[in-house]
This record gives sequence, C-alpha cells and structure tokens, in this order.
Amino acid sequence: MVKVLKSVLFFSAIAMCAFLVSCETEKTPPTNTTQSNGVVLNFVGLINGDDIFSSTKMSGKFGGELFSVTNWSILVSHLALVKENGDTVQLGDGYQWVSFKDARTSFKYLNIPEGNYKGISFMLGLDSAINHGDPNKWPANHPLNAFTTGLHWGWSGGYIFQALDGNYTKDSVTSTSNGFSFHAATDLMKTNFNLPFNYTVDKSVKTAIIECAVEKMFDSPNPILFKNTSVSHSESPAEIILMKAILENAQNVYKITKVQ
Amino acid sequence: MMGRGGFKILFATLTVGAIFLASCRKEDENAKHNPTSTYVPTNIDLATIFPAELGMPSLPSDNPLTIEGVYLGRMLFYDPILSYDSSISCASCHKQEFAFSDPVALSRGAFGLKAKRNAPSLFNLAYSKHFFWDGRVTNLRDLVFEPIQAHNEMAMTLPKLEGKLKNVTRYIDYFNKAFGHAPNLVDMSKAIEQFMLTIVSDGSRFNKFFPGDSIQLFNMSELRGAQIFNGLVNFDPVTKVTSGADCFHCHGGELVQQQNFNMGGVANNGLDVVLTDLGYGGIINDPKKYGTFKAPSLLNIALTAPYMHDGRFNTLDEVIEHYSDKMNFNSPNIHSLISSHGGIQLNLSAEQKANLKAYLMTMTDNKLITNPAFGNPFKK
Repeated sequence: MVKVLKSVLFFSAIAMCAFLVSCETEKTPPTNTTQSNGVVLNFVGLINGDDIFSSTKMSGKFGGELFSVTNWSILVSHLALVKENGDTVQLGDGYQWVSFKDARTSFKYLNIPEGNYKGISFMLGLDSAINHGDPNKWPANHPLNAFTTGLHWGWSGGYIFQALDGNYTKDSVTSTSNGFSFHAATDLMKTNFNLPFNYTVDKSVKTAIIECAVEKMFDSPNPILFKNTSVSHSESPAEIILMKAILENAQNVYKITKVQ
Repeated sequence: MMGRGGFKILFATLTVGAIFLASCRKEDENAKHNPTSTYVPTNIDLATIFPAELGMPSLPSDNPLTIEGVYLGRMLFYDPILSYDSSISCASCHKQEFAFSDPVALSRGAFGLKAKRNAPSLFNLAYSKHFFWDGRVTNLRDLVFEPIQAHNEMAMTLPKLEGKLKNVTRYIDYFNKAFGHAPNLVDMSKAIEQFMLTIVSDGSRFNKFFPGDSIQLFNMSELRGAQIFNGLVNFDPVTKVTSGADCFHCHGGELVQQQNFNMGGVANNGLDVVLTDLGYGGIINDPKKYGTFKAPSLLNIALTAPYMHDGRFNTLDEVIEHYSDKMNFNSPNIHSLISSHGGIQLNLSAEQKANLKAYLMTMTDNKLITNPAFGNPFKK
C-alpha cells in the first residue's frame, strides 16, 4: 500500500511538473535569435552638458541669456552608414523622427552588411516629392505620419523638419520669460549632416551615443540672441535667413562620443 | 514508510494540480468562446469608417470593430442604467446634436452635482492618443470607467453595474453576439470603445475645402478667415496689424487639432495669471506644464459652446476676443508659440474677427449630428 502511494505521489509530482513547464512554454513569446549585424543609434539631448529636460530652471546659457527647451523634434531622411569607400548603406527606410520630449531617441538597425564604416549621414528634412506628398498615407507609427509626429503644416506646406521651442529670459530672478519658436520647414531648409563614426559591423550589436548639444544651435558661426529674434517659421525672407543661420550652427550640434 | 506527512503532501499536490488544471481549462474556454453561443461577429470594413483623407488610424489590435460590438457600444452609450440611479447616460453630457458635447459650462451628474470640467466633444477619437482635457487617459476603454465611477457624474459602482447588465435580457443577448460572453465590465468598455472609435467627423465644408484646392467652396470672408487662421503672426511695421493669428499650430490639419502634445497638442493658452486647475501638469506632476490643457479639435466648433476647459466663454466672439485682445502673457507656462511674439496682443480688427469667425463656421459637420448610426438606438 505504501509503495503504491509512493508511486502515485511520485508520478503525480512528475506529471504536475511536466504540465507546469508546458503551460509556461506556451505563454512565453518566441525568442528573437536573429539580432545581429546591427547598430543602435541613441540620440542624447543635452543643454550645456545636462539632460535637456532635467532641470525645472532655465539651464541653457548663451550671450547673457538663459533659456530652456520645451520641445526639440527633428525629421530626417537618407539616414545611412557610410562605408570607407564613401558608399552608403541605408538604415531602415532611411526616415527617422527623433523627438526628445516624446522620448523617441533610440533606434536599432539590424542585418547591416558586415564591414568597416567611417560615418553616419542623414539629411534634416525630406525630398520635395515626399515633403509635399500625402502625409496621411504613412502608417500610424511611421516617422512621416503627420498625426503621430505633429510635424506637418497641414495644407500643402509640407513637413516641419525641425521644431525647437522653449523659453528665455535675461535672468531667472527678475525677468519674466518669453517664448522662442524656431521651426525649420520648406525645401530650402534641407540640410545634410555627416558624422565621423568608426564602426565595424559584425555579429554583435553596439550602441552609438550621439550627443546633441542644443545650445550650439545658437552659438557658432552665427550667434543668435533671443532678445533680437525669437521666432522663425521659415516663411518670411527674414525668417528664412535666420533659420539658415541656425541650421548652419546645427553642424556643430551632433557628435558621436561613445560606442558601447 | 509513508506516514501522515506523506499523505498530506500527496493531497496537497493533487489539490494544487486540480486547481491548476481547472484554471487552465477556464482560460481555454474563454479563448474559444462558448461554442453553443451565437458568437459570429461581423468585422467592419474599416475603409467604410475612416476616410482616405484622414488616413487609417492606429486601432487597438485586441478589439476589432464589429457590427455587433459597435451596436452594443452604442446601446451602452445611450443607456442610463450605467449610472447609479439610472438617470444619466454617456449621451446625457455628450449630445449628438452638439457634436457630442454639452451646451452648459459644467454638466450635472446623477445627483445634480456639477462636473469638474466642460464636457468635451467626441469625434475623431480614433486619431487621438490622449483623452480628457488633461490628457490623463490614453485609451478609450479606460476612459469609459472614469465618468461611470465619478461621484459627480454617473456615480456608479462597478459591481453594481455588472449586476445590472447581467440582469438585462438585451445585454445578455448582445454581449454574447458581440463577444461570446455574458455581460461583463471588460467587454462593456471594449464595446463603448468600438462605438466611440466609429464616430468620425469629416463632412464639413472645411473638410471639403482642405487642403485648400477648392477655393470656390468658400466666400471671400471665409477665405480671408482661413488666411488669418493659418497665417503666422506678422505685424506690419507701419499699421501694427498682423496678417495672421497662428491658430493652426495647435489647431491644424484636417482634424483642426494638433495630436502631438509636444507640438502644441497641450498648451496653456493664456487664460489665467493665477492657476486654479493644474490640468495636464497635475497629471504628469510637472510644474512646467501646470495650467496646460489639451487643445481641442475646432471641427464643429459652432456646435460646442461654451468653450475652454471650464466653459468660461459662451460664444465664439468671446473666444476670438481672448486670443486677439485679452491674452494673459503673464500666465505661468504660457505656450512659447503664443509668447514668442514679444507679448503683444494681436489686436485683430473687427473685420478680421468676423472673417475668422466665418472660417470657423465652415467647420460644422451636419452629417455628424444627424447620422442615425451615431444616434440613440432606443429612440422610437
């Protein structure tokens, strides 16, 4: 009798364990085993070396003015790795929407041809046909979906390539703050960027840290003082000149500082 | 030798096993639905709901729109049994004839108590990601439970509601048809979500005019209003008159609404110097966002008075006057798009204001307010 009971207990326990394992297996999603030959681009928004939105105070300083950023969002196309011979390998479909406030800053690309690369290239903005095409044809989560990004003028004006908004003041104690709003748009504002990036694509996936120093947008070679000009939507001649100056400064904004 | 301890182990093992088997079986049954039920829902062709001009929204993948689900949701939306004393339905404060808004500043709930904020209009919700004036809810099925349980709205308790639903013959039938289950709160919220997702507004003259190719649809006043609405603030150095009011940044596109909260979708529009309602900032606990609220769609704006989150403005004229002449530039966290022009009032002329209003009046969608598919299914 005791032997029988021992056997029942033993087989019950075995059966239960087997059942538990099979149930668990059904609920576990399949593991992705094909994540190789890749790179992660991680855009890090900074203001004078600090996290761009970390402070409740105005932490940016330039030209005697203090400023804070409330939104920084960019739309890029032709995003690619640059081979040592100058050829490019497009990442994904080449489009990406980077929005620091939306925490949309990290992008993984896989199945890139193995080899050595010397840079990352992208264009701020879109080719004209895409810029003035139907913004509603893109799937809901695509970088060019107008509802998702909010980066579209509506009408036939096309996309906003870069939205940079915030507040500024002469000093944080005595002055009231005013807003600034710099929106780069229209085909005139397309701007190419090439970032040096020595990277070898192999079976691993490493992360490139791209530091984005927003204060440099207003620094050199074209110093921008908000008290003189705090708004540009790339429309009037004066706004176009201002935005061109800002985008020229933008060449100093992006820098790959680490690969990990 | 196997003593009492061994029997206890055996008993416990078999008991746990039995419970586990039972729970697994229950999940399976739920997954397959009741095979003897009449659960054969009919999927809706989404192209018949969402027009190409607006594009296909991102819909919840676990709640496909079905004829049965939408109809059940519509019944629930119009049924006052969702409130504690069966006196208030969703439609009591979201009336179809007012683009699913309420023509009072603060709606009254089940016991005559006033709501905290103005009842927002309900349409094109499939294209939104944040709901309520403070954007605190990110999907419609969660939204459903808030007014139902709010003491000053429907004042209902969930156990009581489920009990009520289970005792109504039509709901036993319709829940089964829509979801293959007896009435329950999860499917209730999914049904109402389905119905609300189908409420699309794109039938206004504005929608036919957009993106501006058919100017013959508008008279001169409306066209000039469109220019002011969609023009940037640009003061003439001599006349000091601005050619544009820059309404479009927060109220742009076909939906006349900025969907991205960081691009003007939520904003402080200079109503108050002293904040009495923290709005979105209170939800995300960010002092820099105190006093900000979701920018509503201006479609059907002529139908949705009174205006603002607290219903403070009774007419469109008052709204236009606020933006033109009474902006509080000292309001904490006023949006940078408003304050980036040197803190100068727009001072629109009487003619500019009239044109702007004429343009706004083109945004009324009569199809929305008369479409029987959105109407009260209990109405004889």
